[in-house]
Amino acid sequence: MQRFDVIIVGAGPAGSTAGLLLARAGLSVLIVERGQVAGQKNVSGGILYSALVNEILPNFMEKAPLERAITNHQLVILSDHRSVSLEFRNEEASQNVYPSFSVLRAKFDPWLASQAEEAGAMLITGVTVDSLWMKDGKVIGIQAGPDQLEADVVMIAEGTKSLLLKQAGLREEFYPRDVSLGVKEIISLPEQVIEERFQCSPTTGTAYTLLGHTLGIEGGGFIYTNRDTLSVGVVVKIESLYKNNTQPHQVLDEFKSHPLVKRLTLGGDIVEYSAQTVHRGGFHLLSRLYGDGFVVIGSAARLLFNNIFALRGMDFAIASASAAAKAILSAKEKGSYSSNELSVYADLLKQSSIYKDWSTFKNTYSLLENKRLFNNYPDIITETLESLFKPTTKPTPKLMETLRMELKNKVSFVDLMADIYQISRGFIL
Amino acid sequence: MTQVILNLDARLGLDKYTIDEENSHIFVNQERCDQCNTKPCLTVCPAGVYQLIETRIVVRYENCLECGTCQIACDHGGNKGITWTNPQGGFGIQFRYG
Repeated sequence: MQRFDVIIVGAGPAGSTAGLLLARAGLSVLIVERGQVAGQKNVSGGILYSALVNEILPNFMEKAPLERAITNHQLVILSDHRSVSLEFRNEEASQNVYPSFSVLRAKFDPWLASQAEEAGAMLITGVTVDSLWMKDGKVIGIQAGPDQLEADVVMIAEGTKSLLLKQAGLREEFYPRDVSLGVKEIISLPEQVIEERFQCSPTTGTAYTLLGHTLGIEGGGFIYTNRDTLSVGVVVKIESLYKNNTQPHQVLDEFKSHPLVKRLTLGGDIVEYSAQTVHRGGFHLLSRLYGDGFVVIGSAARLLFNNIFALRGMDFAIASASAAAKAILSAKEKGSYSSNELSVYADLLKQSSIYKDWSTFKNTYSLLENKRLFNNYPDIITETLESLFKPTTKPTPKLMETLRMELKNKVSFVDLMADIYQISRGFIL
Repeated sequence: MTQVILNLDARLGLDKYTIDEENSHIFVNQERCDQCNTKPCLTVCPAGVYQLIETRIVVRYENCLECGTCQIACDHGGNKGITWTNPQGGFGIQFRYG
């Protein structure tokens, strides 16, 4: 029986990065992927932030199949047929500003997997790992169909469902209040149309984050420009769907029916419909990261971050893979892959900006639970602004007076104060 | 120029699958489902895989997008009647864009 130093389950950003780094360090590495090719089972609902990635995969920006550099970010509040937006643009590349990119996983993931292969990792595709091979409470390999494969350490990079750990009783439960469902359409449009409509150049693009117009379901929408397609979707809390008896594609239809979204997607053909679960991030929800003979990287460990302005998953996956690879190399030197040696991985993550960002923005998560954010404020904000932009035959009051009228019967003073406090604790102070 | 809107089945018709004709990767325990009042699977699945036909849960596993939502909703909002596993290697959804 062939034996490997490391077996990695899943050839997504986490798995392939780990495979690349460990093969480069001279270890024998096997990556097992259940898709016929890497990326085939994977869906992105975010953009790829390059700062952490660039440290680990230098020059990836020149080589990887990226769609567009995101130079324009828009945060939009939607109500019935109105919208209010905050637009941020930086069209000049500078040394201190790391670009972010739209990516399509069916292109990006095979590229990263091929980098791991070039470094010497062995990649097998079309093989589902059925279970972890355990002995005396220690992970000693994997079981895939009739085959058992042994390794010093197994890296679990199987993504958001994290079935292997669940089945082995090695992770806590995932609750419907902590997990959202993203549903997405890929909409095809000619490159020139995208560039005119989104006011971008042939290499740059726009990322929209939109709040409201989701049938009262907690969550939000996104639109990303790819090279000749758009990624358009909603991310909605699973618990909120069944408690409101609302189906996910109904929320997507409602979102797409807003005039602003309609205008941006006009004339485009839908070429793919996809779905993926998205964990609410944060260290209080972080899954177990390591144990005897295994480490967990990427979304399988719920390594995600959301502060409304940035939704990060892929760069955390790549950064966690690098930290775990370092821990494995240090464990190899000590000649033991027990929980004690692999705990170096968690220490490295704790020292990284990932933990600090979670800590800084930990109160943003309770903000995302606030139903008034989705149900009341979009109307109040858009109607208040309308009174300023659209004078009527009646005298126009000042902003506070209009706001007071709008808030009346919708949000109590006490709730408003509580919400302002929550928003300020979320990401201002 | 108009905006294209498709119903759920037309959306699923755009996707590429290699269907395992012999084995479903989703198992339901009908007894548990009979006793489940909420049946969140009927609502949360983005592919409408779960259908209530008369009193039974029928599983159109061939449409599954492999997102994992049903398992989480069923375990904690339903009656733990669903066991979702990965399809056998090479089978199931094949995203061409992702």
